[in-house]
Amino acid sequence: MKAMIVDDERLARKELASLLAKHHEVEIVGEATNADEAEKLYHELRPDLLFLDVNMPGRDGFQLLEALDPAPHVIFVTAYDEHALHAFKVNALDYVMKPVEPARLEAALNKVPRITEAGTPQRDMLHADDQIFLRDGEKCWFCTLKDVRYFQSEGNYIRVFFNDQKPMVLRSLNTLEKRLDPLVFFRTSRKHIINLQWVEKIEPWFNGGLMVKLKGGEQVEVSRRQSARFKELLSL
Amino acid sequence: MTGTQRKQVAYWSAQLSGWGVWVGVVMLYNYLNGTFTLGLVKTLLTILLLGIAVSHLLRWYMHQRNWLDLPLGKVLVRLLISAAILGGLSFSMHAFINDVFFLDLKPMLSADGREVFTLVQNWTILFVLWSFGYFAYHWFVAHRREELRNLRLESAMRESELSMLRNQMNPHFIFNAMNSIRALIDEDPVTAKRAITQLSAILRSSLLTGRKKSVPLSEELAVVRDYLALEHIRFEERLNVEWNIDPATEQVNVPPMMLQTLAENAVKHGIAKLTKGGTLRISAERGEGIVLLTVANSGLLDHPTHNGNSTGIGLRNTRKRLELLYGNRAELTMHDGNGMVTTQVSIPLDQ
Repeated sequence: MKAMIVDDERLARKELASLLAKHHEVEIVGEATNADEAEKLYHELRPDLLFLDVNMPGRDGFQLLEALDPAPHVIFVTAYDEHALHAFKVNALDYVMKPVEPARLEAALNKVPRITEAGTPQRDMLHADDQIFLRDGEKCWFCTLKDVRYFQSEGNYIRVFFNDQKPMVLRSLNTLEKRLDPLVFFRTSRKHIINLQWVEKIEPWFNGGLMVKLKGGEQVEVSRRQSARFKELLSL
Repeated sequence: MTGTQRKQVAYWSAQLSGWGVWVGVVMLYNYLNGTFTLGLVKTLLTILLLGIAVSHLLRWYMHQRNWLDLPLGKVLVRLLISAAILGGLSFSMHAFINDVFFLDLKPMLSADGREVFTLVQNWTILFVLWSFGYFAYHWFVAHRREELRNLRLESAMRESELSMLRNQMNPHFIFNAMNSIRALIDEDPVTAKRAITQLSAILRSSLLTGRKKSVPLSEELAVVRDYLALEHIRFEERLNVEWNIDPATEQVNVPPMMLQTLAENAVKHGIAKLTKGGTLRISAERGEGIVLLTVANSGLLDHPTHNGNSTGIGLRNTRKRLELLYGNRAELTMHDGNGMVTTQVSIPLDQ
């Protein structure tokens, strides 16, 4: 398993590396001192696992994760941060506290799913089984794409509807659309991208458009322009 | 029910039950002595109604004149005089009612001087007793309110004291320092050992802060030096410290952990946010009747962000401390320019 350590303090990185030394299944392929460095290195090295400090100069750990799609497996490493701890506890993100207890680190490592020898494939397309990291205020989620019913554009933000949550996150619907698997996700209009696996019923709507009913009860309109493509896609 | 309504209810129940009990006791006394007559009932009912009416009038007058706010001596004189006047008034009304309506009873208007004096005296005593009850109740309530206010004040003070202590022991700093030291044990055991001593010194002075009002600046500087040495282990070349301490300030008394709080703020909101790190400048100089402590760090002034409300707590507490200790003779200012954020505290020397 390829791992990367992201922490602005050299000694903190060294300490974690020495704790990881006895875990032979973990290979540290890279270290980064800030989010920008980490983002670059991540695309180069494609690690399976990230050890991520929350407090860093520049973008913090959460902001880094928002920029990484699909989200890697992450173990947060933090000293003591009430805001971060709150986010972890609410959404069961995995974390270890500095100074790191070896037993706690082992428990966190055991929760990381075993990855095939081939490692994470190099790809830009986001699959339904991939996770994305979402943050809205103090709350954070790792959200599996197949759980998302639809995305809705709200100004510079998009609202993500999954499970019983609907956080609003700073992302662009256009950028997201380019990365999503077109067999699963469909841009119904300027405002929405829906997950086809959640479609329950389709009804004709005004002006030659369509109205899609999703499992879960929500309705999303398909614009006239997209309706033809939509029909074509479904008839396949 | 509003406060005024509650007061009205309390007043009327006390008023009615007070007079009622008094009439009841007199009746019972006469009954036990075998002197209970219909005439007595008539007289007592008259007294009951007159007593309630006249004492109510007295209450109204006292409120008009704000007697409740007067010192005890003045109230006492006024009460005795008005009780006597009202005693006379009540006697006259009682006598009038008695002679007009109760022809079967002994006439009162034509009673002899001694008898009249006794009756006026009895009325007066009743009003004096009534007033005592009234004032005792009011003083009791006011006293209790005062006590409650003091308790609230005390708990508010304790709370702010606690939050100040919490603020002084920044857990984020402590755990990060511990983590660095752990890594340092393999790399550089000598520095690691020194770091543990430095951390102990900081924890000790942080715990003692609550008990001391002021310490010599030299002592405070030792704490800040230990603190920055530890942060230097953590930030390494990213933290560069410059000192400029006028020796004449070293024996000046300053509030403990105040310069420390400023240094911590400068690291937390300044240096730690800079990828390349920066410089921290600490200086102490004497001005006219004051000592001027300055902490400057690379960076820009924090702009309040949507999720960061912790930014101002350290400074706010420091301001509050300064005000409690020195009133308006101390000052804390903050400004930025030339890529540095400068925080300055001026403390009066006369301590």
